[in-house]
Amino acid sequence: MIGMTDFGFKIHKDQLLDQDRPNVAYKEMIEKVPSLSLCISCGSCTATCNSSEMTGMGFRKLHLYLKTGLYVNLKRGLKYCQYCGKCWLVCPRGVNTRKAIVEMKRIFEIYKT
Amino acid sequence: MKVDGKKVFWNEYQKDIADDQYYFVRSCIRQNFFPGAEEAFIRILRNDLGKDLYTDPNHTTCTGIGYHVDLVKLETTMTVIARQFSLMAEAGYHNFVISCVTSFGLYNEILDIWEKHPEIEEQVRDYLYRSTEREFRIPENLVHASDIIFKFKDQIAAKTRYKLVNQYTGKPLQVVEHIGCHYAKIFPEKGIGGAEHPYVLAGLIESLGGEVIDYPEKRMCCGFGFRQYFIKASRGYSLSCTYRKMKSMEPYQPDLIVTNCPGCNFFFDRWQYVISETKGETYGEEGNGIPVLTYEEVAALALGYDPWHLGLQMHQVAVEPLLGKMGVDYDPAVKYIGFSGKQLSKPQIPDLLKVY
Amino acid sequence: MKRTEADCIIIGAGPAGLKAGTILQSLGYKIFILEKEYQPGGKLLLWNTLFPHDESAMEILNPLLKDQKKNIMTSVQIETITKSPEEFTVADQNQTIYTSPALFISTGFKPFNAGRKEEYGYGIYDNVITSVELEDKLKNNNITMTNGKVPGKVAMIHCVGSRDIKVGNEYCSSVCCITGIKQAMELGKRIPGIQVSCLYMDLRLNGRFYEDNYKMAQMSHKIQFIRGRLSETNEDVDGSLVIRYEDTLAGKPAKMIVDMIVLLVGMQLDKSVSRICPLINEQTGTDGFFGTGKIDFSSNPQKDGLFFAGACTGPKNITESMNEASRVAFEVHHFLKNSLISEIHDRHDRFRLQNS
Ligand SMILES: Cc1cc2nc3c(=O)[nH]c(=O)nc-3n(C[C@H](O)[C@H](O)[C@H](O)COP(=O)(O)OP(=O)(O)OC[C@H]3O[C@@H](n4cnc5c(N)ncnc54)[C@H](O)[C@@H]3O)c2cc1C
Ligand code: SF4
Ligand code: SF4
Ligand code: SF4
Repeated sequence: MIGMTDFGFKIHKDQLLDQDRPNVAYKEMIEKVPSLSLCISCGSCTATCNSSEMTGMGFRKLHLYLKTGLYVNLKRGLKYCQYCGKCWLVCPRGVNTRKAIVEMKRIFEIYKT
Repeated sequence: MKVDGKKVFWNEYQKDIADDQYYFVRSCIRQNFFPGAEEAFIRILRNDLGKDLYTDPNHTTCTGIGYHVDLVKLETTMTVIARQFSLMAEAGYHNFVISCVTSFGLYNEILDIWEKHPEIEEQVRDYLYRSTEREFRIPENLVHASDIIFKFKDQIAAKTRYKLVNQYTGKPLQVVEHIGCHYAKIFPEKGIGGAEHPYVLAGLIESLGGEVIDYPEKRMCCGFGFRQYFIKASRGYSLSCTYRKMKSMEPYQPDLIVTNCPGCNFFFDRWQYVISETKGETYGEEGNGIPVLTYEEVAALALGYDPWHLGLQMHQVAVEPLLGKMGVDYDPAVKYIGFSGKQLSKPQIPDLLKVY
Repeated sequence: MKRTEADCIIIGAGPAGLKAGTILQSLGYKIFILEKEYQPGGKLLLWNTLFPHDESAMEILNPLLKDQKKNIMTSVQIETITKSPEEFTVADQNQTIYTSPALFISTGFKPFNAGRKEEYGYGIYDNVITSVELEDKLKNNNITMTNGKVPGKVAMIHCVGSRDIKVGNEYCSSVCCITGIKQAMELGKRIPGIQVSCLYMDLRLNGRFYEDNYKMAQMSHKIQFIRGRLSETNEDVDGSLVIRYEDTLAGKPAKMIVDMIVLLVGMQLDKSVSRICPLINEQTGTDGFFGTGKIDFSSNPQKDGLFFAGACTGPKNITESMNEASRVAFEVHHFLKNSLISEIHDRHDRFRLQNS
């Protein structure tokens, strides 16, 4: 009978990252902060981050979330940044992390105004 | 540890600090937390060093705190800062001195943005003109107030009445120096000694006879963390960060913590009380905390200023153990008597952390 | 003033220069190898055993020196290098003049000055050493810390001064990953129970048998490989080192307490010849090493009689350095032969002209 729903199990959504879904935010970010494309995920930014120790947040992951379209995680992480600038200090690739965070906050409307 | 190794960096990171004629912008929070600190800076500069320092009643906050918690947009911040520059020019000064470390970082960042993007500077000129009909000029010299104390540290040291030396043992006091993140982490070349091994406070402490402690969590945030504190749900992160730092410095038995940033000062001081209540731990001798002072307060104490005139009774962690070690001549009876001679209200005495 | 003529002057008696010397001499050319140190051998004098086959550096060096001792001038401080259309003239500190139509540069590399990575604490904290220093400790079989004890826990830090825009070296130094593995295994062999961790960004094991070394390090010596880059070193009260990095595979910031850290320093061009000779300096590529690195060698400056080989044309291991030196030695041979032929032609023409 069509419409029967209670089998006790269901069809799940897969857990794959969908690389084919357009990532508008990433495109926009790369234009605004070109150095972002140089990130090699070394993690120096996160290791030195003042806020990572307690919150687990770090710039490497923010970038990764942006790149992979995991926007919910990105927004959560962005809130913990305290703009201390340590990540910028250590990045071996010269990624302008500070600008990237400001711009990401703009795109995801974390600014209140 | 090879202390000489650090000197190499200290020599590498030097910067121009104007000699005289300063336009001083205050911190928006410091006067509430430690009301005597900025006053001490002004008095040291004017009376002890004979400098011309202008304080302007018309300047405002730099919006730094609003900016760092995403309440104020960068454009707004830039326009506010442009207005401060315009006030400086109006007062006839070229040398800008900033009391707050976060402000200092923000001013430098904005100057950097303008240098790289002149079109943004033009736009801000327009914003400022349209909103206030003002025009501005970029300062010739822009430094943090602790830079100035550093510059004249030897002159100050030559006039001191007390040293950072334990009078009971004759040994140098063990001092933790903590530099606000925004002092040099964004622009290492703008900080004396750079960002990794800053010298701005270490130099002062050495000149006053103290010894600087290098502990593992030294380069971490004081705990303030802007959003971490301002958003109540995250406030535990702020406290935990300070807790880690206190645990890390504890084995070195510090006699004093000196900072150059309003936030750091506040959080090292006030969180020691909260930690004592939540964890039952204190870090000084016999239930005392580790006193936390600003660079001007330390300099002023050494110069012989009266601790209660400096407002040291407004610190959460009692400074009496430090005053004792330094041999400062003070009257415990007048601690809570204000300038007007009226009795100030006394703080409640917590169970654990000693307050006198 | 002493004046000596040769077919080719080789500057630098490391593995590359010595290899080229051996070949050119066997082809019958008169050569001189000028070395600034008091002993020939370059880095072979400093290393203990060599990857990938654990060969002794001395055993590689000795055959290279055989039959060549008379060609090698040591303790030569080159003061000027000039060129006329026919020949190069090299003058040293004793005003000895060497001339030759071909000049072969094999001045090798200088290890990166680890003190420039301030946050790593080299030169500040005891027991932060470089791979060059560890090699010396291995050679003297004296792997101790400053307190005389043997380390129980060591971290090898990859990419120090390589792949780092902050220090201006954006290239990969190509041998430090495998050097780290070589040294980690050597520590494992000599100190029972030692725990060694390699902190890398990418493991670049691109040479023959390197992967075997990697597997051996994992299997036989239980070396830990952690994907993460050191962000800061601090010293604890007991002298141990607290390092901070992110374990990027676990996705978590991390810390580790170790007794010693070894910084796997990268390579930089030894600028001693380019500094004194604009003609050589012109040949510095965009990455800071000599030459263009192009597959097409015809654009290289060989026609002028100037040749480069070894680590001075970019990071290389010893095999690659000697291979390049052999290939370039044959180019020198070609050049000398051609100039000889054209000289005979010239002489012949002159002779005919005189007689007609
Ligand atoms: C820590 C470490 C360990 C290594 N271990 C290995 C290993 O196990 N196996 C391996 O294959 N490779 C190893 N390498 C790489 C190896 O050292 C190089 O491949 C090799 O030294 C390059 O040889 P070269 O002759 O080009 O230069 P060098 O060995 O650097 O020799 C250059 C010579 O030129 C001389 N010179 C420089 N300037 C002047 C001047 N102006 N006048 C006169 N003389 C001058 C120098 O004094 C030196 O003697 C290691 C590298 C490092 C950093
Ligand atoms: S430090 Fe730079 S390169 Fe490394 S992960 Fe962070 S942003 Fe990317
Ligand atoms: S600026 Fe933000 S992300 Fe970067 S280190 Fe500071 S808190 Fe972390
Ligand atoms: S060889 Fe390895 S350690 Fe050396 S620069 Fe390249 S990636 Fe880094």
